[in-house]
Parts: sequence; C-alpha cells; structure tokens
Amino acid sequence: MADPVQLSTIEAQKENIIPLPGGRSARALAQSILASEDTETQNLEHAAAKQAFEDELKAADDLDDPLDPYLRYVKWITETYTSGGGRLLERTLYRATHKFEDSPEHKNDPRYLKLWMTWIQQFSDAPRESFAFLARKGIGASLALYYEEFAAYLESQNRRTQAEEIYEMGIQRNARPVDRLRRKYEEFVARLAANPPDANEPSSPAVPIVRAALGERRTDAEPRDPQAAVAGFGADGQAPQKKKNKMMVFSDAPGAAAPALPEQSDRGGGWDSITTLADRKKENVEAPRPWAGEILKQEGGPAPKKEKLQIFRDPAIAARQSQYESQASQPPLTASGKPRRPERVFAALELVYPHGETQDECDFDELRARARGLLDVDWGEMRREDERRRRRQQQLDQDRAAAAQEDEMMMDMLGSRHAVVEKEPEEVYDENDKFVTKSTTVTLALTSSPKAKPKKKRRSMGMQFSTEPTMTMHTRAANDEIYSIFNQPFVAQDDFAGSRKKKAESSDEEDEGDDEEDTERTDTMYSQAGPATAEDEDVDEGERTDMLKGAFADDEDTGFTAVDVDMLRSRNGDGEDIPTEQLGQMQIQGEPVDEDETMEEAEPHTMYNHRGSRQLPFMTPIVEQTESLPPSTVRARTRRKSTTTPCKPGRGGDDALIDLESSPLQEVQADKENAPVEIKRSKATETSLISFEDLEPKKEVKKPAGTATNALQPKKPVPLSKKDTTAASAATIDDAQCNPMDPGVRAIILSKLDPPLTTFKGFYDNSTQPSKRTDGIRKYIRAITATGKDAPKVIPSQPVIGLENGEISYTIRKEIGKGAFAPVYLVENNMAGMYDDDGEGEEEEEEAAECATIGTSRRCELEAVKMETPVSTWEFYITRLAHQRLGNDRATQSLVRAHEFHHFSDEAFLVLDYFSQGTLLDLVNATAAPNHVLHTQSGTMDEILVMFFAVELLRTVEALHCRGILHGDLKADNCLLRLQPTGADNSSDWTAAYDPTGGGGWSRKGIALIDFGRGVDMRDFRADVGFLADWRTDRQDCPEMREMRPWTYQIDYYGVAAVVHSMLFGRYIETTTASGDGGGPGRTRRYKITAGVKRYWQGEIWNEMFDLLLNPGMFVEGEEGGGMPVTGGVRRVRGRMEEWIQANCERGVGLKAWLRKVEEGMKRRK
Amino acid sequence: MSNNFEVETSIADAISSVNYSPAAPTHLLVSAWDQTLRLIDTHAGTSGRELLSIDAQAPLLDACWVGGDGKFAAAGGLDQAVKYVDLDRGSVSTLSSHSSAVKAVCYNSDVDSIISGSWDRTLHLHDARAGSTTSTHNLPHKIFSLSTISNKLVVAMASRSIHIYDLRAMSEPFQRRESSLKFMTRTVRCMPNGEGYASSSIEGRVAVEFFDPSKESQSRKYAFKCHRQPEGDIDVVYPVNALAFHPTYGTFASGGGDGVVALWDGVAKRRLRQYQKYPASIAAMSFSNDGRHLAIASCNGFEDGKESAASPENKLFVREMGENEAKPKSMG
Repeated sequence: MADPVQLSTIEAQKENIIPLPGGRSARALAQSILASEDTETQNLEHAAAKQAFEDELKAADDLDDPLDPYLRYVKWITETYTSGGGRLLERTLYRATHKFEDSPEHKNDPRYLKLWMTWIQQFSDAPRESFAFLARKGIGASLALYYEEFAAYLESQNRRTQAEEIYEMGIQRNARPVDRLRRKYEEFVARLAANPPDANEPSSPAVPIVRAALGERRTDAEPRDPQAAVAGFGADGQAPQKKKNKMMVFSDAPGAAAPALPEQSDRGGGWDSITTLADRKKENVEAPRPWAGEILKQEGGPAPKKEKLQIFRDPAIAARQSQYESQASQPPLTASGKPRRPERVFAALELVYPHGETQDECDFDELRARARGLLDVDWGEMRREDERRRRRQQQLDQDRAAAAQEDEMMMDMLGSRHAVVEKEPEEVYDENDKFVTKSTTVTLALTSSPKAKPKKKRRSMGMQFSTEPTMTMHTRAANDEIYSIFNQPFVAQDDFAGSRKKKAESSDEEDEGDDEEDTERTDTMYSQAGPATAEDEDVDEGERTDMLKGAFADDEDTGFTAVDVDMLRSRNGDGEDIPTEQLGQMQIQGEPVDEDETMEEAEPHTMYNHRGSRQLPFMTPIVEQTESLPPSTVRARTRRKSTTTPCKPGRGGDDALIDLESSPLQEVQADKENAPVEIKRSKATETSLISFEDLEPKKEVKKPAGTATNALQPKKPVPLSKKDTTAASAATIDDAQCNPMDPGVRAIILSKLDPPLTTFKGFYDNSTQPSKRTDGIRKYIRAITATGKDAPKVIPSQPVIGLENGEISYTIRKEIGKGAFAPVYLVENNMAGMYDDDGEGEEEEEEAAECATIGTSRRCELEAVKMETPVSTWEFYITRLAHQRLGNDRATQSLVRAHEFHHFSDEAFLVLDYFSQGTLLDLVNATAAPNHVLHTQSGTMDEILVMFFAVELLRTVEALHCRGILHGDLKADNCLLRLQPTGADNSSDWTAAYDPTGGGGWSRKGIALIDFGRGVDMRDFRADVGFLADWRTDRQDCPEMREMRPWTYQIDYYGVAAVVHSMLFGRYIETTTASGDGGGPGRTRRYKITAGVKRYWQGEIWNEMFDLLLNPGMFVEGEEGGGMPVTGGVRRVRGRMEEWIQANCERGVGLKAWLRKVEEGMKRRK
Repeated sequence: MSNNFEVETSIADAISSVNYSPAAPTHLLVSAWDQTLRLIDTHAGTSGRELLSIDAQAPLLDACWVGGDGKFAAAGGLDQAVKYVDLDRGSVSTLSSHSSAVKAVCYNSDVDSIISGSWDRTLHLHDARAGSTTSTHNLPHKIFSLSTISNKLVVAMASRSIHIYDLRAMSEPFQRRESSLKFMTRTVRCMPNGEGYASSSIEGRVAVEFFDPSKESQSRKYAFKCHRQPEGDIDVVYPVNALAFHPTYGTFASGGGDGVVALWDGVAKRRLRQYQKYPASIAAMSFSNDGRHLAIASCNGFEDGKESAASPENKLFVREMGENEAKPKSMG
C-alpha cells in the first residue's frame, strides 16, 4: 500500500479542480498536482502520453473493442487535467461519440452513452437538442441512464411535464435497469406532487416528432434541397445587401456547402449528425483572409472611458484648441507615405477666431484696429463733432459782434444800481437782501476791494464753473484740453518767467502777487486770448483750477507720492485750493498723458487722441454740482462782469470767447441763449420767481439762483415748470412735467413742510446772522496744504468752529472734499464724548418724528462738515427725509446721516458721518493704479467684489425708491465705502460665507450714499410726473435726459448702471441702442452698454442688470401699479446676484478676503 | 536681371494696400494706417518720390484706382466711409458710409463701378462717374477681400465663404463657394485672363480656382502650400497676405507673413522664383501695368496680434522684373 495521499497537496489546489460526478482519485490528483509543479517535464510527459493515445486511436478500428482506447483517453484527460480538459477533452469526446453514432452495437453500450452524457453536460450548447438527436439515433434507447439524464435535464429546465413523458417512455421501453428507472420516476413523481408543474410549462413532446428539418415537405413531387436554394440566394450576393439593417442570413460559401449536406433528401428528415460546436457556429467565425490591405478595427481597445471627474473646459479655449488640433489630427501619413512635418500656424488663431468657429473670424486689420481701440470709435460722431467745431467757430465770430452790442445795451439798462455796487460792494447785502445770490457775489468778485478779492473771486469762479454742466469734463475734447494744459507750460514757462517775476515783485500782497502771476501765465496758455484783462484771466484761472480739481480725484489720495511738487505748484499759482497730495497726484496722472501726447503730437485732433481718452488711466470724479443753475448764467455773468468792470468796458466778447474755447460745450448754451423762444418766456418766469420770494422771504434765504440774474438779465432760459401755477397750488407740485431740482420748486416744497424744517432736530437756524467763519478755515487749509516757498512761517492753530454759543464745537482737521459750492472738511467733534455718555437718553426725549432716525445715530469723534455757500437746506432735508422714510430698514445704514445743520446768512454747515475709506471711485482708481496694493492685473475690480457692491447699491436704491425718494446724483464718487469693523479684531464676527440678509457681520460691510443735494421726494409730485432736465446732458446722464424725454426713477437706475459699469470695466459707461430696433421716432429704444462683458464673467446676470437699469421702462409690466419704479425687477436681479455671491463667495480669493484687502488698501490712503 | 530697391516714403504706419496705376507704370497708390493716401512715383529719382498725399482722417484699409486714366482713386478705411479721390485736384468726397470699417474697395472698368466691402457685411456699388451709390448688397459674413475682372466680382468673406457675382446681375450671387482652404481667407485676386481667381489663407496656402462651373474646369482647381519656415522639427506656417497677378503672363506673386515673396506659375503648378526675405511681413503687392515692376509693401502684419510701437518697419520696395523673370516656363 502506498503512502496515503497528503491532502495538503490537494488542498492548495482545490479551487482548480473540476469536480467529477464520480469523484476523483486522490492519488491521481496528488500526482497530477505534484507533477504540475514542474511544467516542462509535465508538458513533455503529457505530449508523450497523448501521442500514445493517438497512436492507439488510429489502430482502434482493429481492436475488438474500439471504444476502449477512447474511454481510456478520456479518463486520462479528466484525471490529468484536473482543471478541465478543455478543447482536448471536447475534441476527444467528439471524436469518440461521433465515431460510433451510427454503430448499432454501441447504441446501447452504457460506456458509449456515458461519453455522450459527458459531452452533453460539458460541451453541448443545446443539451435538449443533443438528447433529441440521441433519441433519433436510438442511442441509449434501452438504457435507463439516458432517460434519467434527459428527464433530470428537463426537470432542471422546469419542463417537468416533458420530464415525466421521458420517464414514462423509458419505463415503457423497459430500459435497463428498469427498477432504478422506476425508482427515479417515483422520486420524480413525489417531487412533482410536492411542486406541481406550472400550467405554462411547455407541453410539447419532449422528443420532437421526427420531421425533416426546416419543413422539408413532401408535397412537392420533386424532393428538393432547401439548402441549395438558400445557397443560391447567398451566391447572388447582391440581394441581401439592399437592406443592411436586417440580419444577414449566413450561408456557407458555395464551395464549402457540400460536407454539411450528406444526401439529406434521401434520409427523409432530421439531422444526420450533430456536428461540433464550432461547426454549428461557423457563421461566427470569420474566414481567414489575407491581411494585406485590411483595416483592423480597434475593438474595445481605446474605448472612450467615462470620465469620473468632469474637468471644466472653457468652451472658448476648447474651440480655439480645436483649431490647432485639426492641424494636428491630420493623418500622420500622406498618401505618398511621406511623413508630414508638424506645422504651427504663425497667426494668432485664438485672436482670429475669438468666438470659436461658429462666428465670423477677425481679420488682422480688425485685430489691429481693436488693439488700437479704433474699432468702436463712433466716426459719425467725430464727423459731427468736426462739423460742430466748424460751426462753433462761425458762431463765435457772430457772437462776438452781438455780445459787444448787448453789453452796451445792458449797461444802459442796469444803470445806477451797478454804480452802487461798484462803489460799495458790501452794501449789496443790506440794501438788496433778496439779491444775495450768486450773481451778486460775482458782482462783488469783480470789485476792486483788495481784501475781498482773492477769496470771492475764487468762489465765483467755482460757481461759474459749476454752472457749466460738469459733464464737460468727460468729453474727449475736454480731456484733450486738460492734457494740453498740462503740457503747454513746460514749454512756455521759461519764456514768461521774466515777466512773471516782474509782476511778482511789483505786487504788494502775496496773494495778489500770486494771482497776478497766475494770470500772466494763463496768458501763455491761452495764447489765442490775446492781451487779456485781469478779469479775463480770472475766468481762465478759476476755470482751469476747477478743471484740475475736477479732472482728478478731489481729495487726498496718497496712493501716489508727490513728485516735483514745486514745479506744479508754480503752475498752480498760490496753490491754495489744491492740497499737496493732489498736486502730487496731478503730476502722476499727468505723465501717462504726456506720453500719449508726445506720440500723437503731430496730429493732436485726430482720432489718436481718443485713444488716449478712451484708455484714460484714471477715472475722474464728476465734479459736484449741487445746484442746477440755468446754463446761461455763466454767460450772463461773464458778460455782466465785464460791463460792470469800469476799467475794461466792452470786453465781454473776449470773455465769451475764452470761455467757449476752453469748454466746447458752452457753445451749446450760447446757442440756447440766442434762441428767441427763451427770451419771450423769460418775462413770465421772472415775475413768478419774484412771487416766490414774496411768499417765502425768510425761510428760504437762498433765493432761486436765477432770480437776480433774471432781474438784471432778461436772457435767461426758463426752467420748464410753470412757477405761477405751482405757487398757487398746495404742497405738492402739480406740474406734469418739471425740473425737480429747480430752486423754485424746492422752495415751495420746503415752505410747505409740516413741521417746518426749522424744527428738525439738529437744525440750527441762525439765518439772520452771518457766520464769517470761512476765511479762517480757508486760511488754515491753505496753510497746512502749502509747502515750500509758499508755506507760511506760522501755521495757524486748528480752527475751531464754535456754534450755538459754544455748545457745539468742531475742530477742523483737513479738507477732504471739494465741491464747487461746498468744500467738505474732516472735523473732530469736540462734543462726541458728551453724546456718547448720555446721548441716547437725551435723544429719546425728543418727540419729533424725525428723531427716530437721529435716535439711532451715534455721534463719532470724527465727522465731516460740508460747508455750503450759498446756503442750501435741501440736502439736509432730503437726507433726513430718507432716513425717516426708511426707518429701520437695512438700507438706512447705506445712507449717510446728517447730524446737524447750521444755517447762517452767508454760509451753512452740514454735519455728516465721516467714512475714512474713500469712495467707490477711489477704489476703482486704486485698482487701476499700477503701484497700488489693490491693483489687479486686469486693472478692474474682481467680479465678485463688483457684484457685492452692486447688490449694496441696488438694495439701497430699491429701498429709497420704494419710499419715493430719488437720490438724483448717483455716481461712483458719491458712494463711500462702508467697511465697518466687526467684532474685536475685525473678522471674528464676520463669516466667510456671504449672507445676503446681512447676518454674520455682512450688514457692517457695504456702501454709504452721500450727497443728496439733488435728491427728489416723489411724493411732492404728481404720480404721473415726468421730470425734465434743463441742464446740458452727457453720457453720464440717463438716455431719457439726453433725449429730452421725461424721466423719474431712471436717473437713479442709470446712475447705478454707471457706477457698476465703472467698477466692472474701469471706465465710464457708454451706451448704445441695441441694433435692430429703435429706428423710427416714437419707438422706444433699447439701450445696452457698448462694453462687452468678459466671457468668464456672469454675463447673464450683468446683461440682465444692465438691460433692466438702462431700460427700466420696458420692465414696468408686472411691477406694482404697472409703472415705475421697477422695484420688483431690481429685486429679482439683486436676488440673482446674491445667489451667485452666496455660491461663489468662498471660491478663489473669496469675497471676505477681498473686502478685507480693500479695507486695508483703502485705509492706507490716509 | 532683377533689381530690388526701397522707395523712400514718409509712411508712418502699416501699409494696407499698394496699387500701380493703370495708366502710368511708375505711379503707385498707397493706402496706409497713418490715415494717408499717397501717390508715389516709384521711379522718380533714385528712390522714388511722393507726388501727393491726402489726409483721410482715419486709417485706410484699402484703395484702388478708378478709371483707366490714373487720375481718380477710391479708398476705404476704419471711418466706414468710401472716399472718392480726385488725384489731380487732391479733393476727397465721400461716396457712401458703411456701418463698419470698409475693408476692401475695387474698381471694375466694365461697368465703371466702384465696389466697396465692409465688415458690416454689405457690399456697396457706386457709380464712379456720378459719384453715387447704385446698390447695396447684404452678404452673410464680413468681407475681407474683393477682386474683379471683366464682369466677375469675387468677394471673399469670413467663415471661408466666397461669393462670385456677375456684375451685370447683382441681385443674386453667380456662385456661392466655400474656400478650399481650411482657414480664414486673407486675400483674393482674379486672374488677368478672367478664368478664375487665386485666394490665400492665413495658414500658408494658396488656392487656384476657376469660375467655369463645368466639371472639368472645377477639377482643375488646386491648392498648394507656401510660406513656411522650418523651425526645428516643425514648420511655422505664415499667412499669405498678398497676391498679385502679372498682367501679361498670368503668373502670380504671393507675399507672406514671413516676409518672403514667391513667384508662381499657376498653369504649370510650379514655383518660378522665391526672393530674399523682406524685413517684415508682406502686406500688399502690385505689378505695374507693364509688368516690369513689382511693388512690395513690408510692414508689421499684426498676424500674431502684436505690434511694437518702437520700430515700425513700414517699408516700400520695388522689384524690377527681368525680361523673363515672371514668364512661365511652359512658354519657353
């Protein structure tokens, strides 16, 4: 006895051993496994064994039992190949079974049947057919094994009815061993009883009734071979290809059909043989063909895998890349087989195809034009401008002649009063109290009183400038003008140095001297002015200074260092109006302009200049225009001035000329002035205005500006409202159309206030007495801003404005803003501590309605005082009104608070909140300034930051509009940054996730609107009111104004659009009518911005916003009341923005980080 | 023998077109981005002389002669206006205004029309004599180049679209074709014999096509590669900015962004000559009416979207063509 088999040997391999029904010999297994460890020997052994069997099989026919070698071979295979004999077994079984299928002596040989069973079990693809085949051949017909296996198979296929039939058939045939069969049958019946067959089971005969395959019916007289027909059909070849989609019927190749058809028709039916699996599936096997010229399909190989992670691809870039790819994806081999060299297209394809391939590509010329900024130039406008310029020149010539005549006439008219003015200027106040107006001041300015002269003159100039619509600053021509101012002195200085020195020496007073010096230099600049009078020069100087002020950010922006201040100062004369920082800024800002100029000097008035102005390095604030004076007063005043100047009579024409030369837009005013219609109307206005004064002589100290002028100058264009009717009506202005900023209208509104303005908390009415504080303040400001040779030796102490008998006092720190009328000073509130201590309690005692707003206002140490000359109570009133109306609305935080208003006869002090972080305009400029910390690569603010501020703006404006208040002067420099500290270290109580409701510290961040000087309370007007602007409009005004259509809320919507535009693009808003519509008159045009929203921006949101804000009239449907304001639309846009910010606030730098950066960056300005 | 010399000019910016006068073989009309239209006698003195310069107020993109006497011209540019210039008097009048820049102008003597094409996708036809606009035609794409011969007008547009008009029946294009080149069409020029036209693209290919729609004519069309510079393992492919047909031989010159000018025999499909490299991209070319001079404008072509303000290489060259220099080989 051999050693027992080590089971561990088998154990390790057991998953590889195919179980046999009869079990396996452990020894054989062990042997085979052990042997398999040495593959090489094993292979050799197997090959030898196989060869031996094969030899034996060849000789099998001679044996008595030819089946025996097969049996042994199969046995050997199963034993040797423990993991399955595979093809060898199949082949061997096939050979064995098919060799004897027609041999009668083997039909009932159980060994032979077993071979069949093995084959069926392991290799038959359709066992039932195989069983049926055996039945037909009669193999195993008298062997119980056949029936048992067949029935078991059927039973496993849930064909139990058929299985029963098979059992019965076997028993009937007495298949041996019949007892075992019976037993199996009984067991089956028992199973069947326990689990009765389904009715759905197939009940067809288990062994099909023998019939010729595929119905070879004998109806035909001539038996025919169906296959032949099929083969013939296949041989035709063409027919089946017609319908490619249908399944191709396989047919043997014509020549190869023979072996499958062994005289079938004789045999009368069914299969003669059940062939090999491969044979029966031969349609799946491709016939071997020569490989030459074959294309091998890459099946399953580089199939496109599903990307698990979607990587974002910019479609635009992808489109561009596709250009390159199309180049690269060309087959590497050309027909000739020569490898193609890779190519690189030199041209900048991404520029040529900026929109992908779907849209028109861009020519190189177009690219060049775009790069130079020439593409969007409105050439028609330029041509028209040229035309205008030409006409203007003509007009000027005519005007000059006319003006001289007029002046003479006026001299006669004015007569004695002016004689008085000239002699005793101070008396004007006393004698003609109601004429304390600007024009009066002008008169003063022209007098020769040495004391009053410098100050008043300057003021008058400021006013004069302000009456020119500030928009002047933004025309190209105006910008060119500014640039030329900067450039010229560099050339001219030396030439005139001598004369300047002489002047300076001869002057008695320093200020005077400076002024003189200035004027002299002005001459050099305006060479065309010819020999100018002192007054002429004053006009120039004042105007120029204001232009400078206007042109550059008007308060300290120390993002720039002052370089070569001296030179600039010398250019700016005494420099009293311009703080040092500003000088520095001017210098810096002047430089890029210089570059432009040198490049384009040759053709200063060709389109190249527009390139300069389009790419203006910094945006300039819109010069404040607190009052809207009728435009012609400029002209009027200029003229009057000259007439009243005794030493220079009749020079009005020259004055006008200079004015007009320096500001092209004045021309239009001059035109207006000459319109005869205006002259006719003016009489009525004059009377109406005077009647106002009679109604309200005391309260409204500041008289409508036009009045005096009108009285003296019957050539003023008339405000469009009809004053006589308004005066007669009640508190509301009943006009369907009027100018809400008209002083007369305002006077009426203020007069009808109940309770009157004087009872407002914080309103201190000293209108009967003059304040006379201006001089001290101005002197101080001049002193602290002057440096170098102009610096006074003693710096005066900080002026303290003591008010109300010393109850309230402010210490002036510095000037933070310059309006044309109203400089703004940073002051220290000396009473701040007091307020803090018991302020709240004190204020609670107040009962007036407006105190609700004040109650919430805590006073700060640093506040801003706006000094208004002449006095206007309007801003105070509207600011208060806005706070009162808004109540505790969140938007209240975004409005500046007006704490106090001190009303004097000559000036007024408005005490406001102070925000140290500057305006949105400062922020925009800081972003564009290359050296600033906030500078971005694009030069514009980050989109999310812009959107944040846009939301703030929209929310505020929406709240104001809901409550019937218009701001009327929305622009980037009227939006202060309000980034208030949150928590102890300014970030603790501030969440990174944006909260549109203001939670998480977000309500502390935002903006504050200032300057309600042009505010309008819609509730003073009819519901269907339409306002008309009677000032000269420009791009910064809403389209309605420009087109002389009535407007209301549009002014603010356009303002918001303009602010957002400047933040987004870093330049002023420009609009055009959308193409396609808007041609005919009467049709409403649809406006859109000309600048293109960058593709990586939220174009949809921005476009929706601009669409709404620029065309609010088109969105009134669905709004409350079906009209303006379009609060719902604004809210919807804001909602979308908020959603977007919420979703994206923590992406990239993150909104919070941005705001922190802004906060830090803008802090540094101090 | 050929001789190449530079014409001294005051051109301060990129040159957009050069055209030799149909009347005088040395008079060259030059339009440029410096807003000036110049008339230059290329052979006055040793290096040419400017006869006339006309301020156009805007960068010019194209100019052409009007009439056969060399006294009138038309020009168009960024200011969207088509200008008619009387060169004798130096006066300028505006024929019409497009709503975008005028990219191409050409003159057809058969119908005596000035044709202007603009990026606003319109074609304006002007009566040269009356100075009025006779018709306006809308096209599907921006117009890049125009060329006309006998009664045919070939309009090359963006999106590789080419329309061929019969000037006698302008209501519908005679043929609408797609460029056989894969990229943006740069310029198109008609063969002097009126059989077809050549067009060039921005990726160094020139296609020669024929008007005749018949199958055998169309089968003659072909395209070839040119203006490539090997750079390491790869070929840098330059735009072909300019094409000019020789008025008598029908051979043509191509000028590319690589600054190379090559002379081709379109019939034999062979290159006749390739000239030395010019300092900058070739912007425009023109053969004189007698075929003896070839004016070549070389300047920054803005192909790569860059231009340096520092060194504007705006130069005008004239190549004197030898007797047989442009003669096709087949003609012996």
